[in-house]
Amino acid sequence: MRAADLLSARGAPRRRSMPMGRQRTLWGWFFLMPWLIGFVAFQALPIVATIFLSFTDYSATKEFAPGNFNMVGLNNYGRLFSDPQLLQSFGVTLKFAIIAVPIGLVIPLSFALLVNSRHLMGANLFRTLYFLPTVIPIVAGVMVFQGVLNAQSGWINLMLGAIGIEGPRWLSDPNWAVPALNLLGLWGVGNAMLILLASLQGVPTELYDASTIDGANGAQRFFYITLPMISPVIFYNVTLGIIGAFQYFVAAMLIGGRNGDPQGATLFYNLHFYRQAFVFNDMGYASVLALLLFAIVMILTSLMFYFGQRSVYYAGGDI
Amino acid sequence: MATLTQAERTDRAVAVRGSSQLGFRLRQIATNLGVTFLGIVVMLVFLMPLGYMLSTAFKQDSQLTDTHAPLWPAEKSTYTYQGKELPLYNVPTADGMKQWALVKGFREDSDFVDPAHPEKGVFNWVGRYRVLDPVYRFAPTLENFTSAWEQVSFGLLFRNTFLIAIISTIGTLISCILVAYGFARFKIPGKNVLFIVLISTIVLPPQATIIPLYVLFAKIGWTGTWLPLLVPAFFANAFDVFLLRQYFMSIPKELDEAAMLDGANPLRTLISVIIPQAIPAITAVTLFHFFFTWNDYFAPLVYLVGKEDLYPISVGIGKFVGTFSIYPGRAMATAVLTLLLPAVLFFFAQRQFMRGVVVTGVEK
Amino acid sequence: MSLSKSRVVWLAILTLVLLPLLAACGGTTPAATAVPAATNTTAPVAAAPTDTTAPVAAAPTDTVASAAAPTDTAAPVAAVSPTVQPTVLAGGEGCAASATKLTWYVGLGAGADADVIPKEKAWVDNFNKTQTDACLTLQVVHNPESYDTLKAQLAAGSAPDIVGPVGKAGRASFQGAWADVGALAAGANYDLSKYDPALLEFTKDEGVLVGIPFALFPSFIYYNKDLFDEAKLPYPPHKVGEQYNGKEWNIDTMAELAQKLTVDAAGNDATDPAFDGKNITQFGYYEQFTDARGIATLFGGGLPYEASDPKTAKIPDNWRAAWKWYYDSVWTKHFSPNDDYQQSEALAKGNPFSSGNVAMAHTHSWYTCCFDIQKLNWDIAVMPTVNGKITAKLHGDTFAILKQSKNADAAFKVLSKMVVDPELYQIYGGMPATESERPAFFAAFDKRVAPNKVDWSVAQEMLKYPDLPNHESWLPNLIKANDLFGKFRKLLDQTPNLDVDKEINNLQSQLDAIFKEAPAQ
Repeated sequence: MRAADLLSARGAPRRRSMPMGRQRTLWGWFFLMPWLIGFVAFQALPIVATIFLSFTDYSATKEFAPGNFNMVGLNNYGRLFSDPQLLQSFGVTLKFAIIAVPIGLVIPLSFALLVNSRHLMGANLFRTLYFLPTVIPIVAGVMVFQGVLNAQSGWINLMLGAIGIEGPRWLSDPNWAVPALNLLGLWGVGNAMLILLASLQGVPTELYDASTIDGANGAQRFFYITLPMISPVIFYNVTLGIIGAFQYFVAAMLIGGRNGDPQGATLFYNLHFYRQAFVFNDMGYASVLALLLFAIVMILTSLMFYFGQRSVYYAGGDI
Repeated sequence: MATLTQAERTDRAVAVRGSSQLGFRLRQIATNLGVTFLGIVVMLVFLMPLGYMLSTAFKQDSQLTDTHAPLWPAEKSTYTYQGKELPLYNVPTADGMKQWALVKGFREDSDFVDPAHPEKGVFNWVGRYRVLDPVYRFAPTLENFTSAWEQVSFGLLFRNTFLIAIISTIGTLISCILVAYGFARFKIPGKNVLFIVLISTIVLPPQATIIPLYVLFAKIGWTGTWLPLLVPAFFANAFDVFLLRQYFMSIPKELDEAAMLDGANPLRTLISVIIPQAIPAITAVTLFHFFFTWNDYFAPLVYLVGKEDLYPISVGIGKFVGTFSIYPGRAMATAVLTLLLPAVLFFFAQRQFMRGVVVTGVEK
Repeated sequence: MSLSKSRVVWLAILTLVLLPLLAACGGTTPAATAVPAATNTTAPVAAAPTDTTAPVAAAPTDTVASAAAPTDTAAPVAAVSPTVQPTVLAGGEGCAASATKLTWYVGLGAGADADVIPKEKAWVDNFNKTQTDACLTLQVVHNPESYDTLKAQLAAGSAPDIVGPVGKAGRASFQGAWADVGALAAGANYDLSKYDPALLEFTKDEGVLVGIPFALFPSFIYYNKDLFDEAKLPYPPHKVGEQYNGKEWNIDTMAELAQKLTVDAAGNDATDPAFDGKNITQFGYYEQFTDARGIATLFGGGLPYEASDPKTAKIPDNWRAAWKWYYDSVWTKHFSPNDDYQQSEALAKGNPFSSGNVAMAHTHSWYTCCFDIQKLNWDIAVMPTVNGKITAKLHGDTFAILKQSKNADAAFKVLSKMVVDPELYQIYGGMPATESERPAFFAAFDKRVAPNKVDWSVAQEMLKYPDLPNHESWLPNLIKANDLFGKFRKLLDQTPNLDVDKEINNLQSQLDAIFKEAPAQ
């Protein structure tokens, strides 16, 4: 029982050639207008500026004006090969991503299924409460995170201690710092939960009813109806999860400081970039790092689109 | 086809199963309890940060540094002796546990007074008072809230936050729906490339773009106003466009084709077919963006530096995290107040996730 | 159709929940002048698409418009200029019309703490009202965003004029951005010769005078009297040369004392064999708010390179000894808290002495800003000797002027008033650079710390034993070097079972590498 079959079985024509192709293209451009204008006005500029800066020795303590920097050709690019922290920071980022991307999908999906369940009493309350940690203001968040993760007085270790386990030194042991951040990330799954919940709500109920009549059990319904129907949003989540993992660092910096403590264990790629730009005032090299990240993530995203799209089912069809 | 309500769906499922009403009901209750129990267990772990926030907000800062203190807001019970408030301790004695008030504590002996027999006066007790359990009573304090209220002009900050959040959310919704619809439903030459370009705008880290953007906004005189926070919202952002596009693409195309056959133009189709179908996703985007703006910290800080009467609440809390001293109680109290509105909003808005989806969409 | 129903519900909720709130806020707060700027310009943008497209969004726009209406009428003219002065806070109200507008940026050092900000605002307000030349606007940004924010402003060429208080380390992050105050002073016929040349030298960065000596912040030992009383131990000496309990007041005596003042959950002190290092509830000693270089100066000042060649790193022997002593105090003798303890609630999350659970802490006089100086029962004591010598590291924060300032001369005039302002000395806990002003300063200070009676002679005495060379002094590639010293302290604080000698050698070779890559001076 495939969702697609069910849909086409409803009798409506699957596809029909669109009338007035040229006019529709114009409409299409019309709809894209807000972004196209905004892109040129606000987004193209930083990208062009970053590319330009990567060829300069600009330092962020002077006005960004001619005369305050020199063109240095490809020098900044050459420094990539003699930067020992580059690989280290990639390592940290990968270590984080390998855990963060899968749990960033599985946990919010489980939560979404749970709070979407008809069997959950007081689902309203559950949804709100699961979502709320996402909204804790950043400034307060640091205190909250330390209050929860501190090895001596943090609530997690107090709880572990209560059942006789000596908790790890989460934030000062290099081996535990990244898992601690992964753990922290769990409290922010509210957004992903919300998106998945919205898409679960979008699965037409008659698909379930029809499959129930056909005798499908819960697991079958999940794998043959729910998953394909929400696959566009899963695809969205995974894509953004990967991009997010590579961009990750704000929480890490709030907790590990600008040095990537303990001992560089939280020196994420973006923290490395940030240190070059804002701690060492080296905008030129920092721009190179930003562009390298840009290139890597673009390649990953393109691959995702190239391969991932095949396993995504769009009820509206591809165009 | 009519919309199925929750009740109708249940009824239909019941009819399908054809099992005995009673057995089914019992099974359902058991499932309900099981699922709800699971929900509660997960929630307990999950609410730790909120619990920490709440309890800290109601604690005096001095309780945090008290190593004996419980996790809930508490105060040492005291006994007033000769005009001084003395803390009570549970002291094991030959006659069982006694509650004595500590006059002066030393390492290996201490001076106590017995509130039951104050006439006996101060006496010395040999033992370590530090290992005794102080007597605590549940004593949430509102002090953090009142002093936070005094130091932060909440009315102003809330109004600022609210205006910024709602204006930029409206801008985001309008622009992102239009753009996502364009990407989801129209044949445009080079669309795939454009879409990748769109996605690429999230890839550059915000820290990489802040300096060029700041320079741009400073040159056109927008720094020190809300414009850098508001105007870009009206020109769509990749996160929300991507999400809405994914969602729009999962809406069966025959629905808008039917509308087209009835003579609706694409804009009309968007409003009458796509948007009603996508209400859950649109609600999600609305909430996201609203909350994102509600908590956005770095951008308002940088663009509004020094203009304290334009600050949103997220920046206002920064006051309690100083360079050399922090005020956990007041920061958490502010955070709790900041959370209240999103919590209430969310609670009501989530109705959108409960209705089930509207199956037919063509409005006539 | 259920869409319209849900839309109505959704809007009703929005309006019901939010409008009263808006109305309440709008009613109780003074209208911010710049608000219309935002709403005015965006309204058309918002309106255009709304008309033609989603009616869902139209209604909220209306609510916003109506909510904004009262503010619209408030000050429509002021809205046009982005440089409008805020109405609520110390932002230039009360200025003379002819006054030069200047911005004072606070946040790179002390001054961004909740209790200090109102005092700064009051000072600015008063300053603006009492003279007609300059109109100050205060910008307070709390660390660590203060650095990034200032950099963004610098990049845009819209930086503030005066920055401070800021120390050497803070200034180092903006190398090359500071104006030469010496030249400004000459232009204003300001006599710098009244300052001790050594003091002027101290206020120079790489040969450029970046400020007028403002205040001196000697360091000493803050001690918590209650914790000494509880342990029935006498207080540490207030005079150089005084003995402690019949022993010379040296680093070993202090370590032993600190161990006695370190207590675990069972009430054992750190000299007890049964002492449990994993459950410490009170610490004897703490090196507060400093990096590895600061700790090193406990054993005397120094420079981490060969005297003959600044590009070859060499850690002085006294620094090695200091770091080993410190590492021992954390992990073997347990009287200094490790990183987990420092960040725990029991030690007030990184502000240990203020928690009341630390008996002695070594830091500067500016720390009086940042703990409850009236509630805690405290006093100050002299530094112990190391090999017969006392070193009390010294801070000399100043106010500096940015090169980018378009009104540097006017800024200098304000600066020259700030550095002799008795109120600012009080606000920042700095001892006046000129000796004659000190008695008045301490008299005022006594009122602030009451009921505590603090022996300020200790502070004056410690001024005589500064760390030479200073622990914040110039190094090749200073920012990166400071970064390494910060990391090294964290390494010591976070890592048990460390081979300290090996780590010091490692640090030395890292320093060597960055010294060698430094551009020629």
